[in-house]
Amino acid sequence: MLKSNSKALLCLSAEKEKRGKALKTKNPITRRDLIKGSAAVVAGMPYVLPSGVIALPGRPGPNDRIVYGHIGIGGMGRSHVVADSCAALCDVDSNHLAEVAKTVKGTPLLTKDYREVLDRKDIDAVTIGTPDHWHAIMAVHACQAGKDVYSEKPTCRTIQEGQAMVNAAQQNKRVVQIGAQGRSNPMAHKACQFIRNGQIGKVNHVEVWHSNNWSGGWGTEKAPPLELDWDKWLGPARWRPYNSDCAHFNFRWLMDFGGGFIRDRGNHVLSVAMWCMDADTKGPVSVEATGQSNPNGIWDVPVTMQVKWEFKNPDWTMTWDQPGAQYDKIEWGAKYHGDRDTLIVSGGDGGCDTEEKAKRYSPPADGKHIFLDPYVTDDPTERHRQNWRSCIKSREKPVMSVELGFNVVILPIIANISYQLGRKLRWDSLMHRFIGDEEANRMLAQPYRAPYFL
Amino acid sequence: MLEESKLWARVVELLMHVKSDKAEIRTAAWNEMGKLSEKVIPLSDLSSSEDKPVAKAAKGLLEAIAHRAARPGAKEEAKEVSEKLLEVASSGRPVPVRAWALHLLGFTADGRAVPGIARLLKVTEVQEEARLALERIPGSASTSALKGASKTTSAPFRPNIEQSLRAREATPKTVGTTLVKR
Repeated sequence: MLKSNSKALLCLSAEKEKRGKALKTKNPITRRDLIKGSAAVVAGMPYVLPSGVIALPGRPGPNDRIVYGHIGIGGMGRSHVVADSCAALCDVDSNHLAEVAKTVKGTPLLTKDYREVLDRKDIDAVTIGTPDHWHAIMAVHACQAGKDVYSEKPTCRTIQEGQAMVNAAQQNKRVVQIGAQGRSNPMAHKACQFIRNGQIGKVNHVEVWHSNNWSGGWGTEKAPPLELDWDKWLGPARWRPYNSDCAHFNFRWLMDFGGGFIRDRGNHVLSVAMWCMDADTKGPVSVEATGQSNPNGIWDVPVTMQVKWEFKNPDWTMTWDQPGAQYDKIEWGAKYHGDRDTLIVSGGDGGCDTEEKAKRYSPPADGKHIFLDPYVTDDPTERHRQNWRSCIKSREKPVMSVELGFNVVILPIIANISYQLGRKLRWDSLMHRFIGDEEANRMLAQPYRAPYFL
Repeated sequence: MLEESKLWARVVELLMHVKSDKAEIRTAAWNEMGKLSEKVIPLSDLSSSEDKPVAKAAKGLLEAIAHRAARPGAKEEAKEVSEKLLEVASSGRPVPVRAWALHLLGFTADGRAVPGIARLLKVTEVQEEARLALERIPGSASTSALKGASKTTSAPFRPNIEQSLRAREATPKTVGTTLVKR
């Protein structure tokens, strides 16, 4: 079983190479050919046409329909499903497959094995909405298979995974958007322009807060439900017996799969903070995290957590505090402390908001104008997806590219490592390594269960 | 000797104290712990307790001890803790207890502990945890141990060993590339 899986993963790249050669030798079929062939669609061909036959391989034209495969459709991933252009649905829970299959047009492939989605030649792009421990391996293999990728936040679980994702996207020239939709949120954009144009002066501290992580829950170790393929749910993570308090949504309370709110919603608020602070090409020089461990239940993320990251040139600090100040009774957000004023930005995902003074502000003509894709929709999550779709056609970098997503997720990754080790750590942002702490560097990667590899 | 229930309560309390956000409480807790290596075996035994909160606290305290011992500049402390962890991993204790000891060895052990861990690659119940530990331990000793095992291990386990060797040889190629201006 393990051996055959391993072979299948290796076959994927070989097949991609073969496919690439085949495509190079054929003349691309023109749009006129497509129109001529439309009768064949009526005659019973699959509802979703392979987009690869109407444009250059891996480059759908501006008016072409993008064909999607959706991997991980139990939670947020379900919202990404494009009902009229879906060729495959993948989830390790057959209940999820059955529920979503009812909502899409045609007869998409239904599978529990993501490799079958990546093997489909008619699929241009995939969305990944699985638990965190699957993001990197799926995204890397998708890039290698020539698919563009929308992967849910957080980008990855480890530094090594992030490096592999960036590498795969760059080498295979793929458009990879990370689902931190604050970057497409007009309210976060207002706050970003307000701060970057100096309206609160020089910002020396970003105070992020969030309610506590969940605690409790021993669950029961038992046979997994029939609809769930537990081995595939675990994937590359260390094996453990099935426990209802571990699977699906609860993955986020375990370090092996998630890593608490700091990696979950924290990724949203930290993403907006790095945007507002113009720090997308910078990283911290140190991190120190403490927290109160959870005495009951199987979950191992801390209940409360305090983190401090230090940045240099310019010098500023960011702190994460659970439960924190909860300004205006807001559950999570950030307060930007400038030397002239402060600004509160609540949330950081689709539900982001900010103060009136920032909402009213427009930068002068010679001020800093921050890019925001001008889509007409009130839903920031849809704006974020539209930006990705638009970039699939233009081949430009999306607003939350894998490079930016990786730079953001480094913050919670190294914070969790500092919490686990119980000490302050120094961080080299260029080399992506801890300075002077060999044990901490052993945590930059997580050994995978065979046969999974990056 | 504290009676058992009080000892358990103290373990839970100590775990809270070594994880405290107040430096003085953490320091006092570590001072009270004394010689860390001496706590490894009793805590390992406690980690298989049927009292779930106690077992969890014992496991958590073991983890804290391992990371404390592996801090920079404490090589001898790490060596002593590693020896005790290896004793637990090689014992006839319940498999989850041995597996946890091996997991922690991945952080504390250096080349000196590698032969002992490598021997466990032949023990079916814990061979996967031994492989994962060796994959983490830097240096030529663990690479040699994995290479040696790839020739002698059973056929079903060989792909796992080969995967670890491949992972150790992989070199990240993206250093610095994320920090380039768009």
